[in-house]
Amino acid sequence: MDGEEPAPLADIAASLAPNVTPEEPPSGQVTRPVDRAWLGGVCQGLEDRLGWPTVVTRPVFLLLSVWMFLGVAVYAVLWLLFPLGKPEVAAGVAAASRRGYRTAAAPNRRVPVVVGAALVLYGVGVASLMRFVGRGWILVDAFGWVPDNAFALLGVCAGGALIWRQWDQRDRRPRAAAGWVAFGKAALGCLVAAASTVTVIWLRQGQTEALQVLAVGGVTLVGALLLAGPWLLHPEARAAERDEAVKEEAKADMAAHLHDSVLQTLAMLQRQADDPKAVAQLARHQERELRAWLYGEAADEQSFAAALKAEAAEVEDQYGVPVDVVTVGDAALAPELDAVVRAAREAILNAAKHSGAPRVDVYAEAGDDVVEVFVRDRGRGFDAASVAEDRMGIRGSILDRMHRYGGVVGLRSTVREGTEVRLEMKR
Amino acid sequence: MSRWEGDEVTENSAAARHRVVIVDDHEMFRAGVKHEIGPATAIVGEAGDVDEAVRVIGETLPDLVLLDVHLPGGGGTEVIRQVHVRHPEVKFLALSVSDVAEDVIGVIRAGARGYVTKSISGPELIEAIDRVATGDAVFSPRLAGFVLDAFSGSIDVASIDEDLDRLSARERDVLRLIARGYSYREIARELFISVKTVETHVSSVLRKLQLSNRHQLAQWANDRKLV
Repeated sequence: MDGEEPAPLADIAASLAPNVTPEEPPSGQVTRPVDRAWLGGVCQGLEDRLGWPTVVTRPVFLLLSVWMFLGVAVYAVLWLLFPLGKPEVAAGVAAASRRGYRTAAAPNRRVPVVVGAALVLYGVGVASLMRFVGRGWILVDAFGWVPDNAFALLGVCAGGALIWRQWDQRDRRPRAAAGWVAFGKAALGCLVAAASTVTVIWLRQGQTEALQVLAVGGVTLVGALLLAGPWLLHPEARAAERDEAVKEEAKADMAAHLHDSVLQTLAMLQRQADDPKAVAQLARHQERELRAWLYGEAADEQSFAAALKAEAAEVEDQYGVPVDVVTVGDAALAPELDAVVRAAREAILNAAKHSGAPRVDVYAEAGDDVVEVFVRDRGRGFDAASVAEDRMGIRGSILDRMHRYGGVVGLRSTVREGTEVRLEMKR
Repeated sequence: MSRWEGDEVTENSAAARHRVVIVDDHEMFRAGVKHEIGPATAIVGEAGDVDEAVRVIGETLPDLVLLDVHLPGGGGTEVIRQVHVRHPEVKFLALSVSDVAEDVIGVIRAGARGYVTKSISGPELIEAIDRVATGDAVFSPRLAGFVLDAFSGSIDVASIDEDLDRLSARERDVLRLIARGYSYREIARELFISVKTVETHVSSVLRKLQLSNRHQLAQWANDRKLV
């Protein structure tokens, strides 16, 4: 389609929409929109659902954080409580993007903002603990009521938030590049947390304690790595995850293909609504395609049955007469069987073109030593004696082809009852 | 069909109009079928999933159930299984868009007495309904092809139950003609036998299909990755 008439397509898309849009969470439920989040998306979610403007809630959370980290704690709890809101992208669009059928809009990059916010938070935390005295900066209690190690906690929170955000909103599709970027961001988060902790302790307690903490932290890290080792090193664990994701994508792509082709057909049906034959033809073509997608066995292109079905489908599309093909057994497509397929095509073509029958039945049986094809219509039939003169199709394409490989052709036709062509070939 | 003919059919078969329940999860399809077979049958109920179907069939006890193979709640085979526990006399005609051998053979082996595709024409469907409701079997060309495929080839001698595991030459002839698109009447003429005899052969094949433990039946399904 060339997009000349967007209106009917849009209508159809709208009517199909319930099938393709992801399920929405129950109304009233606050979700965290990934695409517009600064940190976890809590404030944005509150604005979306309750109408609390982010320009107010964001500073409120920050101010609350100054007192006993209340803001941080509340934010963290809400982060855990609110489910992740999925960006509203229709399955077909997502699949088309993945398959490269369209150019995806660049995702909203908030990461620098988050990193910046984390660093500022960290800086404020450290600075508020220090006061310039004489020879340099020394650490003091900025507020008398701040617990000793609270500001170390602030740094940990900032770093932790970065890591959390990474895992929470990570692109669930495994890609090597995305994997390393994610790893880098998580590492940065760890570094911020660790550095802030060590710095605060260094300034407050002195070098020895800081080194102790560093050592303990190092040991913990090594332990964590050892625990995660099997997953990190075992390719199968990751491969299984990747397989799962690939399967999901394949499913989505298939659904998208189905919906897309149905959409095209529906649009064409609307345009040709006053031509019953064209409508039937389109419907039949679409049915065959859907059937192949949904229930099709993997067709071996080189097999006799597959070749016969393909030829029948082509004639069906060309003349708009349904051709029902039933096959029993199958065989590799040797030259003599290729001749049978071509002869059968001629017979089907004749039936579709001349018989006036509403349907053509094709039955093919590939036995161990003989292959038979029957092409039958319930059309007007003809007088078999007059064939040689006025039906070159039968003479040239059917009889000659079959005879060349030692095949046999049977022809039975009764006026007003129909015609049956029988093709037999020894293997 | 002219009005006169339509009225004629309705009046003549009024006493024998079969009571039918339509089970299909697509409401639009149910409406279409109702429109097509409504004048010739008495539609006493319809259902869109397994539980509803079992309930409606149990309440109305129809002569025949038109049954979709794919249904929410376990599919057509589940409906047949649950209904046949209490009402083994209810007859099922499977009507499906699937055409996958596993579905087709599966629903027949579960107890359906016939299988036709959804693209079947109205008059053909009415004929199939009449046939199944009166105790005969209905095979679509595709089902006939599947059966020929499944019963083809040599079989493990040790496992032969001569009566069940093999098709007779005559049954094979009948099935091949069905696969070629012949009607029962045309088959009878072709083989110089009565329509009643054709029906007997088809019912016999149906019985073998439902009861045979033929190794090849399983093997064949396996080969096509259907199990």
